[in-house]
Amino acid sequence: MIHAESFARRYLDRLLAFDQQGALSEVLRALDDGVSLRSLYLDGFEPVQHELGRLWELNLITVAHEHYCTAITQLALAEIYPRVVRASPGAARMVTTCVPGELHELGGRMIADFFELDGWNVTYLGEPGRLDDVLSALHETHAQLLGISVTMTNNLPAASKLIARVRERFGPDAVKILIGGRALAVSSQTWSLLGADGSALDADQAVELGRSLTQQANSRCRG
Amino acid sequence: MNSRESAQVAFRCLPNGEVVAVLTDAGSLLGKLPIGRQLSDLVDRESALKCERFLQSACQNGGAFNWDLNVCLRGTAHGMCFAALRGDDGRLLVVAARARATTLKLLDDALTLSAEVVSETKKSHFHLSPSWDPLHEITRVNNDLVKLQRTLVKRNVELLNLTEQNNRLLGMLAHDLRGPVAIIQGYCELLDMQGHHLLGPFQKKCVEKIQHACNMLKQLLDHALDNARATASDLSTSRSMVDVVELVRDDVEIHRIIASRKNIELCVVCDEPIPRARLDPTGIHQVISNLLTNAIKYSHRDSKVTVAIARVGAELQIAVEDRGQGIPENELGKLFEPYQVTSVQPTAGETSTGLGLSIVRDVVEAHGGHVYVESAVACGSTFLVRMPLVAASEARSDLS
Repeated sequence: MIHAESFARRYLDRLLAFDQQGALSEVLRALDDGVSLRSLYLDGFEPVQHELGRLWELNLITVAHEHYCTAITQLALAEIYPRVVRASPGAARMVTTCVPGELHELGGRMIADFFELDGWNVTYLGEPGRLDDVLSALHETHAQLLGISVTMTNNLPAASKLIARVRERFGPDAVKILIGGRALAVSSQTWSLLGADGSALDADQAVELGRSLTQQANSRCRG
Repeated sequence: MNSRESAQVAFRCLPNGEVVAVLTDAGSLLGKLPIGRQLSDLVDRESALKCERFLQSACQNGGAFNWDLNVCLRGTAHGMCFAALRGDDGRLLVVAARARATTLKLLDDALTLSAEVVSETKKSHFHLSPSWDPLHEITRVNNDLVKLQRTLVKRNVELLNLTEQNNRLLGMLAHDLRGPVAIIQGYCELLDMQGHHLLGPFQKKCVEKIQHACNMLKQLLDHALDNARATASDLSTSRSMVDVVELVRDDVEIHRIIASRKNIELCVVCDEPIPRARLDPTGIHQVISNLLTNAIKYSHRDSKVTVAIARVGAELQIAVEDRGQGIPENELGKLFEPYQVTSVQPTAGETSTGLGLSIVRDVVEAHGGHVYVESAVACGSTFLVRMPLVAASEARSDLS
């Protein structure tokens, strides 16, 4: 029996050694040993990605190495995704997206998977070509919630623009907006200044907040 | 090549990063960084800490090579490879370019052009490595592949769910059509045996054709059942206020003709008034019909099957009891799983697909209830269905 923390150490070692097969084997082994999907994300992938960022800051790994490691994590998420999808036809719908130009998609993808684990029907856009693509996806899926992931601070203006466009098109209640990512860590009030309905520190909190925001909106509609 | 790609810069700065002289600025990278400003003003916020470490490393170690920092170019962050060498006067010679190889060449050129005094040891830090300019595009392509894979997996799961549901519905349909077909067959037999002298040649021919059609239909249904594989996890119910006692009596009447072939007596027991309940009548019909068919199928000739209806607290209980062969204890666990057939054989060569009890379980559970079995070999079995008289969701709304 291994724990998510020890999985994280082994997985990071494999990534840093450019050992793709070894890294994927660690993921499957952790699942076989009973590590839950939620724990794998929260205590495994998330801290590993933060550590990669730290190593890049210390210049102990190159940007190419960091991209390689992230690509392997993307592959690992792809491998386990069939175990994540569980939405039923009547499930609550949401769209998760980055903003145009934001190539750091992994955080947004992990949030999308977490909502799927909670039973939501998630449309994951990654980096959309245009803001209009996000509006179309919200319209076509009748999503109640939009999750925006921003890693680079220079992408915050684009996030602000996206939120304004969503408000203009759908009003304040039809689509609730959650925003998160490293760019939001600059200040605890950034989300509010951008015009979102809330922000969360991690995927668990994001799901909790998403549930509560949409429930409030639903009860207002019924009221 | 656009200006972003060709951006190159070489300058000298103090150990704290303050720019003192610009040597090269292709792509006007330093347009916003005149002499006197800090190197940290050139990089974006995410790279600020790393920029500090870059300068520290260059000062402490005499040089720093291959540091990737994000530079803000016209509002967008772009990765650039930085290198620095500390001169003997303590000042730093800093160069940056998009590609690592370009950075190293730039450093070499800057050293030649500038008056920097740099020892051969420091120069030996240079080591060329392949350029990774396409990294940005590779990341984009990888992201696109990830999205495609995700969509594909999702569609695949949706298709599997749909197939599962379709197979289950097909299985249920085929199974439940067998009941009415058996009844038509039974009445045809009755006409053939008891009303033979009343029928003319034409009517006899008609009965024969009906029997033939019924046999064909039964074969088709058996075939459809064989092809229905997986089980659906969710059954929707369409509820209305139902008189359960009446529904049970109707079902029992329909099954009398089948029971009469083995001279099995069917009786309904209900000793107390049962309130009307909000149930799915089609589903409940499936439940009773399947339990009755099984009871008759596995009972001996000249025996008795009893359907008892009672109210147990807030629940409705329907018990179907036979005095048949019973089921061995070690086979009870898998009884309600789809396509499970026990070692107990029908008493008159009837066929069994093993779907009936799984349908019963699914319908009962869709009503928020449970189904149990009590059985003793050679004594008989009792199947107990318990369901809330009021649906759980209605009970909650009543409370609120």
